[in-house]
Amino acid sequence: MKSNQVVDLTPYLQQNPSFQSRFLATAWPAATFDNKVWAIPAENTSVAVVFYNKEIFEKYKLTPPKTWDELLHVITVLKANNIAPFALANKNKWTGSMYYMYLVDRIGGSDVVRRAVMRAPGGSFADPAFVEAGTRVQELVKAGAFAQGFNGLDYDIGASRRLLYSGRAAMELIGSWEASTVKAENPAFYSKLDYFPFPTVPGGKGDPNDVIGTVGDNFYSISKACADPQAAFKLIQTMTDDQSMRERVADTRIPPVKNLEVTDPMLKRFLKTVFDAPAVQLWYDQELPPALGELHKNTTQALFGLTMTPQEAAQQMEAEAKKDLN
Amino acid sequence: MSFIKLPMATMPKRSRLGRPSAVVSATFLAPAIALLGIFLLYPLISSFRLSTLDWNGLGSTERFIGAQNWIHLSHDPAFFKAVRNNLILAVFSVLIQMPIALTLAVMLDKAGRGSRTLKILYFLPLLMSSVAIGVVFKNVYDPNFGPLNAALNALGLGNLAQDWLGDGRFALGATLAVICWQNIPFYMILFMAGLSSLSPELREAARLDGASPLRIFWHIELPHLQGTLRTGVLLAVIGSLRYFDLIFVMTGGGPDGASELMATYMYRTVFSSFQLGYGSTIASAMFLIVLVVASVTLTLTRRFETQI
Repeated sequence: MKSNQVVDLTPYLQQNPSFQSRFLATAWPAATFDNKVWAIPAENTSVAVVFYNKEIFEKYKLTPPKTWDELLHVITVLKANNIAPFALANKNKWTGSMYYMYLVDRIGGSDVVRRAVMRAPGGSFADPAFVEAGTRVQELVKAGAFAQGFNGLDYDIGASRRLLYSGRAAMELIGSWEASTVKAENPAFYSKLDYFPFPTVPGGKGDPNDVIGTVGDNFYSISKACADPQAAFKLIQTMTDDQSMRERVADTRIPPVKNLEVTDPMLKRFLKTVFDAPAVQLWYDQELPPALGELHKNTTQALFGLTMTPQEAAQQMEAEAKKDLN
Repeated sequence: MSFIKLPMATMPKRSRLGRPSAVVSATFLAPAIALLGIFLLYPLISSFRLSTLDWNGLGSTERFIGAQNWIHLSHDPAFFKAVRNNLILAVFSVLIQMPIALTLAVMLDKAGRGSRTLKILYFLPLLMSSVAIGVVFKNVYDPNFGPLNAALNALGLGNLAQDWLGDGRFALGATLAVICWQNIPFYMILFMAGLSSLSPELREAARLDGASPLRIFWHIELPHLQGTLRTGVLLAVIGSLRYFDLIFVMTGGGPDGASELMATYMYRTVFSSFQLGYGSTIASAMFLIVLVVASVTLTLTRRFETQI
């Protein structure tokens, strides 16, 4: 936008209010900048949730934890029975980042990141909410909440999923896409799979229905070099019409639009989770400018490895934010 | 004194046409020079030029900032950690790969024809793609399912079982071991080629004079391999300083930069942080460092060279 290469789509949307209202309201913030809309959300709604193995929970008489203390109880019971509470493959960094993002939201509310990004008065990545999130991540690590070797395991070769499949780990915080991956990869295990939302934190300001994820992770924009933007917009409308949305659902994908006809029960619940969420926080590594997003991933991996203090991590983020966000 | 006819004397005389004309030389050299210019010289100059910009590599937002990237690089702890890791890699690659490769080469050379199967087996790692090797060893090192820790536990050495790739203290060492495993065959072949040019009479004469195999190795084979060894050391050093693939696949430079190399840091800077200018600064610095270290290695190894 700053280099003046994409077309402002606001006027087109104003002419087509019914087109705009088909999409989920939470889908638009990611495509909005300077109060103008620059892109149309088209693909994949996915949110991070805690998947768990129902069989293990039943065996040890555990219920999905709603609060931090209940989560710590679940961790203690699982540890005592020699089961790793969480499977985490954090070589990839964005996987561990999900715990941190949820903790920031539960502790400081959905506004704390927005204010830090907008550089609003009092907004800062060194806000106590970020520091506490780091502290709680390290509390989990010290409690032995993660399967051995988590900082070296590679999500892309299924290192965390095989911990779940083998019953060596009971839970995994990951994007909802995991459900369709498991369904295809291990249908027998899919019947044992369920999920719960990330628990609340004592004294936290965040709404327990807030989610971390993306309402649409691919967008259509029109280039400034386009000779006929009107026709291009028509094309985008066709590519996001009801027919094309049905095709996406048939392919077990959730496009970011309202009134989808979904039959898979878990997919249905995901939709409800997204629909009921007062705020959807986009993954930091996509929301933040690239250098800051990369730093977030590195500091978070260091927090998990206990090689950096929560204060250091927060201060490094704020220092980089001062450079990248004017 | 008998007259020995030197092989040189029987060689055909130089071309009857005399020295080729400048036009002919230029014509034959042109394709090579053009390719070098396009694929070596131009990118080199261009990366130095890019290192003076603040640019994300997309769009037209680039800004000339002079030496600022270079100043930033000179106090970037992440870069120095990467340089340190590269140097560790270079030193250990030479210290581990050369002796093992040399031993294998000498032994295979001695075994002669009977060692064909072994030769092929030892050569295999070199034929595999680095990405495949990386994925295999990620599984070998996996602390939950990997055979390495399982074997250590089975042998009663459970206290040696480690979180090989996830613990900053072991990540570089664990990848270094795989890098050596992959590259030793290359140097083995190099040294075997060197040994095959040693004339058998020398060894036979020494044996007749009662020299032990160790003495033959020390006084005949090793001096004969001097030049090859030097090439090997130089290639290992340069290769280690530019290293990228197995580290990228196995640890991505992590955890927390513990196994970061200059090349992986450059990659992350350009393709994850989208700082093309700063990434080019790292690339240019890398070129200068490789140039300096390679020249020093060349001079040092030449100094220790003895006349044979």
